[in-house]
Amino acid sequence: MMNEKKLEKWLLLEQTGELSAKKQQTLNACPEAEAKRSELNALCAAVSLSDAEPSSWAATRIHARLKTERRSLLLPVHVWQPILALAACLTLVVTTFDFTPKSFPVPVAAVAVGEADVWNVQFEEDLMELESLILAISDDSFDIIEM
Amino acid sequence: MKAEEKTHSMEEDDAKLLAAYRNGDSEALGLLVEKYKKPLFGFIYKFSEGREDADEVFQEIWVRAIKNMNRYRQKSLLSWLFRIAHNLMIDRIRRRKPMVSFDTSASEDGVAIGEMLPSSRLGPDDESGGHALGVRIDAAAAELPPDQREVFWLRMQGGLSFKEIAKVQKCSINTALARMQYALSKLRNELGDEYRELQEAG
Repeated sequence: MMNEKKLEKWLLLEQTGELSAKKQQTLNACPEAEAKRSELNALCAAVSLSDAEPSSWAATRIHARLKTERRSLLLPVHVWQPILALAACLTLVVTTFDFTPKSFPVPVAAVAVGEADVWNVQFEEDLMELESLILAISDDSFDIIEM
Repeated sequence: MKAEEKTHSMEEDDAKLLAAYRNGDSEALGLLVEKYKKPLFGFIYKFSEGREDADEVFQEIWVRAIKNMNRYRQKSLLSWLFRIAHNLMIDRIRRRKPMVSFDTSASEDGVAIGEMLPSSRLGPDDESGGHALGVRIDAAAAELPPDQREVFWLRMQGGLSFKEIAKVQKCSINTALARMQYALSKLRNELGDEYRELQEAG
């Protein structure tokens, strides 16, 4: 005696040819199988299957859609040309121009106080050297500071 | 020729036709569409809002299939097409009602997901053609939860095996079988007297 659920399960598998040979043998030997089989077959036969078919142009439309989608991925030349030209110009500008900031002299105010003294001493020494040089080459002696 | 060998050569034929289409032979697509139009369209028709809607879904399935041809790993092209149909239906349900799972039997507001799916429509020919029981089964099937309804039509209209149905629904064969059994049990209850008459006639 087979459980009704199991019997139906095996009959469903039998319909699709998925029941193993061993189970098929067991099913064939089951006394309730025939009545259940004919009930199941009658129910399945009563199901109204749709005879509807796709439109006769279905394949053509599918092909057309695929072609359109492929085309939209590959943009036409008249769209690509200006984009490529712009990209080329940008590349040229970037590679030609030097965008790094120019080196400006460090403002005096920014120099540290300790360094300012060293700078002043050096400046005075240079100034004195310059003064003596000017005096050496000049006939008229005058105070360089007055300049 | 054994059934298994026949299936194998069919798979080879499909792979060849797909490759031919990829290489520019547009007629190869026509042959494939022609080959699988009946089971696939019949199944879609049961879940769509009329012929035009079914036509649109049918085309969308093929477009997705061809576009993702490189992902085609399944042995059977038909199962793969049904898998795409399954995904497409989930997308459609989500678009109508966001945040609802296909496996959920009812939404928060108490509306069954099955109700959100369009009920299967029978043309006037079907209704006047004396298929009264068929019409009742169709209407009863429309009330099934989506997963059971899908298994029922995949088996009945699509002619898929339970192994293939399990692949489409990404579940075990036992789950697919259990869903079919639940569907049949509910149909028997819905049909009531008509089912008993059917039993007697059977």
